[in-house]
Amino acid sequence: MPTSQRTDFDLFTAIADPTRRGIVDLLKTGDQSVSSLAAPFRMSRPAISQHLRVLRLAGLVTERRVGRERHYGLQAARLREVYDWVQQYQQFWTTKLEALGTFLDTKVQS
Amino acid sequence: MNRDIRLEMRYPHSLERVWHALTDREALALWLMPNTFESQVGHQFEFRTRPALGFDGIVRCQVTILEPQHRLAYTWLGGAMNKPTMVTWTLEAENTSTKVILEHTGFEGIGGIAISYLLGNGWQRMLQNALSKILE
Repeated sequence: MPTSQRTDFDLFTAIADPTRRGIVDLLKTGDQSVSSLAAPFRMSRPAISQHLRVLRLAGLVTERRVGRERHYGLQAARLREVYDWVQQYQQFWTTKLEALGTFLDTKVQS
Repeated sequence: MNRDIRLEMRYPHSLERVWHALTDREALALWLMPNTFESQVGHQFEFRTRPALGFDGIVRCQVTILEPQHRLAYTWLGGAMNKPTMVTWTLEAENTSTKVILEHTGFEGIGGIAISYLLGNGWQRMLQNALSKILE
């Protein structure tokens, strides 16, 4: 499987988990540390770190060091790709229904 | 919010003609995609096209409903989906025209969750803003 497809798959896998979606929601308000992210979920910091790792590998969040802590921020452009994928499906069928119309019209003439 | 895809079209052609276009392998290849379709409930087939984002170009399908000149449904498993979705075609004669309703439902796979999430959570505006910032 090509690398790009693998990455796309990771993107959808990352967003499929409710905890990770919750993390992404929290990051909408700005960068956060692991401890502030862990608080609302009643989860250990290692567990949250593991979720953050999946999000980071999917390119949805970035990590930076602030003193002793790691802070995480949202990569909204990456989410945009998911949105585009949704739009592409709607567009796919719209285009195909138009093609069906053209096909039907052409067949009458021949 | 309805998260399924539902499109409606009217074609100035007979029900028979439209049904043929939906159920004939060669016809389908001309307007939809190359395929191995057969008009038989339970038949497993594939559509093949160019790969795109989140889509490897192969759609795995199985015919589930076949009511001649009225309704055709098949499962649809492609790109980024870990469970099949459902494509349903419903035809209705309207005078000399045919109304076609296409529904693509059951987005509960990986992509489906992403779709529900994105469409149901006010993300659309946020993402558009994000794109505007990138383009500025």
